[in-house]
Amino acid sequence: MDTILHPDTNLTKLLAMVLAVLLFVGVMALVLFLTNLPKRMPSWGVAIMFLTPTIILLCFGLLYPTVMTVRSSFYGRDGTNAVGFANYVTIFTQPQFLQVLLNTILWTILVPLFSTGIGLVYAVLVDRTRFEKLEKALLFLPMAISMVSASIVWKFVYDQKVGLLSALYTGVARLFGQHVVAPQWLMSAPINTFLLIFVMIWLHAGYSMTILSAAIKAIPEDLVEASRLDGLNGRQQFFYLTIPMIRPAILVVTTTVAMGGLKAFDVVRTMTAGNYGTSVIANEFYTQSFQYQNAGLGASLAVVMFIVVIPLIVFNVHQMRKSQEVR
Amino acid sequence: MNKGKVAKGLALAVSIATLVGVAGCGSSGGSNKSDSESSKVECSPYKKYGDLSGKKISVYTLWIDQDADAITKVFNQFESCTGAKVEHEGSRDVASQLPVRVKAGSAPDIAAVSQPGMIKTMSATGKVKPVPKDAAENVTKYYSKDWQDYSSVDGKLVAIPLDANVKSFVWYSPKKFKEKGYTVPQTWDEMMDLTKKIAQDTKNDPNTKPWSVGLEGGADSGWPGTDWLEDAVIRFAGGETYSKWASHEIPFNDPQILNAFKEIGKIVKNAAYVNGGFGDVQSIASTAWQDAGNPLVEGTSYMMHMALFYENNYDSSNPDIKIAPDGDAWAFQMPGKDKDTKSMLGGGNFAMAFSDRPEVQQFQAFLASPEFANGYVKFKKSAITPNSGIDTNNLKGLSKLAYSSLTDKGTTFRFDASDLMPSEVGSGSFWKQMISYFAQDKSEQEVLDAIEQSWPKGQ
Repeated sequence: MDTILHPDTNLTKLLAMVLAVLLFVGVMALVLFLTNLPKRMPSWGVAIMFLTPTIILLCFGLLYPTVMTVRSSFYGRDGTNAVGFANYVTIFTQPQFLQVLLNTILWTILVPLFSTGIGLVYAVLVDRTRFEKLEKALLFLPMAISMVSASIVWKFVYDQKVGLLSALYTGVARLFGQHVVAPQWLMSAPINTFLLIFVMIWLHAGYSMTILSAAIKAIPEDLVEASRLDGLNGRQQFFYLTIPMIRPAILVVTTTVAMGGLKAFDVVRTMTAGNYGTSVIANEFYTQSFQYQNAGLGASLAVVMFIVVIPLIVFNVHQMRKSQEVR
Repeated sequence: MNKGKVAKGLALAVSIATLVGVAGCGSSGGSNKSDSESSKVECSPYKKYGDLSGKKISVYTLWIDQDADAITKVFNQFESCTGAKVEHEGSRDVASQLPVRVKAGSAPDIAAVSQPGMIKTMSATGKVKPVPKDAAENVTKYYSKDWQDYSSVDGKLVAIPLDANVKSFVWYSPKKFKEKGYTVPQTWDEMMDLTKKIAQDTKNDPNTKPWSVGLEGGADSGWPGTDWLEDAVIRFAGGETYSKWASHEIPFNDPQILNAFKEIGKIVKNAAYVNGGFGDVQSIASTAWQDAGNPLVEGTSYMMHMALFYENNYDSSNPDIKIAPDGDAWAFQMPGKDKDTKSMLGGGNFAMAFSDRPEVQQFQAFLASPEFANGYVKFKKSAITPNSGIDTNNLKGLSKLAYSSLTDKGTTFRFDASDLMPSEVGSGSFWKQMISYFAQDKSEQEVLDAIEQSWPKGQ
């Protein structure tokens, strides 16, 4: 038994994996078998059968950690002495944390706004053009790159000496006859936060475009025809037909990307590690919990993030249902 | 529900489960290739560890890449003589990952940490096993009292010193010094005079300055700045004040500290003295510390304050760079106020055990033995150890100089203060504020005040 719980050779690891898979299959088979057993199983019986494993897993994997996190947010560094709301007071009063909150707000607003905006305009522009597939692929490509890799690539772009941005900056200045030295992009607050946000926008624009493009294609043909007959020009069609028709999809995309912006971590961690006034809640949570071993403060930051994300999720699910009704 | 649906559901479940299973098996253990080049090992010193065939010991350190290869070679000697298997895992994130592992109940048998503060917090968890008898005997026999103290909590030995690095070095190019007729300064004032002289000699060349400094290092940006300040504090405020400062008996922004800070400010904030080969004072914040030594060889700068391990950077950037007292690069100990007061800052790694299985205890005895220390300095580049049982013939180049300063009775040795301070300061605000000192041109007073303010309460 011990070799299975603590596998240390490749063979036992493989064995443990196969066993785990078989266990999962076994449980599923058992559930299915039991629901099939009686000839006349009432519907609530079936529901209970299927829900029980899910609820157990949810309690164990989601509810329990949530409760524990909330609990430890009222305790000090190592979870032994109760400190009441002191951690929250720290977060909402100290300048360094206020900066973190402000940055997170910027991320949560700007990333969805621009990703969705760019995605929407792009989707409309390339709709039914000759090279639509290629054009879409171009914008969608960044989605295939992991956030960390993208951050490393953009770190080169923002490099003071060899970066593309510095080259543009000095080049434009030269056009006006000025000789300037490019600033340290990632070290100069507040512009550095916006540069980091841009990376996330670049990553998510393709995702927004794909979803919105699908929604645009789902607009019934006869409506488009009718609008043409009524004499709407392109711009009017966009505002009076396309946008109202795909509104639920826009809102779903916006909230989904907003959640991404709220949870932003990899980009910040990779590019500045939260230095130079660029830290966001997720990054600060990591730093406090694991680097500074301040479990209480880390947990409080996690709770703050958790509370902020709830309305977003509720709204998102609500819109998702709506958009499915439209389809 | 018909049979077909059940079969479909099962197929789906199996495929998903397989995917999850495959995705979940990643992480590989340490490599255990026994090197053919690790010559014939003389096994007689290893007899005392007995036969450990089939036993496994897991070791978790922050040595990666070439350092990991070197340490694996040292462990290989132990393996081939005792039959035990040492599984080494290296990671840069030991400091943040080890507490998580210990909490989760999956601690390694042995972990190496580089902060004495970490030794304290780890032993507070109650999971650290006391150093066993044989290993403790080795520690008292081969290590000075200072190093025994670093490894102890409340007078109890809980860790074993593994290695040491020394930081109070100033790198320079002997060749270039000879060309210009400069001599190595013996006192702080001489160093300032030399700085002035170089600035005079190179004033027609805007790219060349006496000093080059680099603070950038990704997520760890700023640490070289802390070494500058620490060296100033130990030289201008003295060893006693330094210790009080590191343990927060006096505030971080004590006037004595401010005075010391202003002394180095005279160098690093003077546009005529920095930043050779890179740019203005502000460029210090953005110059990668790994690059800061290049101008010495290129001739656009003459001095750089940096630890012993910078040797590796010269080796990896250009193997032709000759590191020797008459070569392209060498270092002198940063001088003190007068010729006779020598001070040296340093750090090191300490091994703690989270298991008391007999083979782990034997391995701990090995870690504190001269065999380990000798193997370590033999295989690992620019590495030294505080272990007095080593054969100094194994020390090459600058390591010899470092070792002599480490073991010299007249040298005041102090542990790197940023490793002694709570991590919010030691690897947090202290680093960040040193960056701000250059990037935002903050004053010395502002920097010290900000760090003092960030000191966690009740620590």
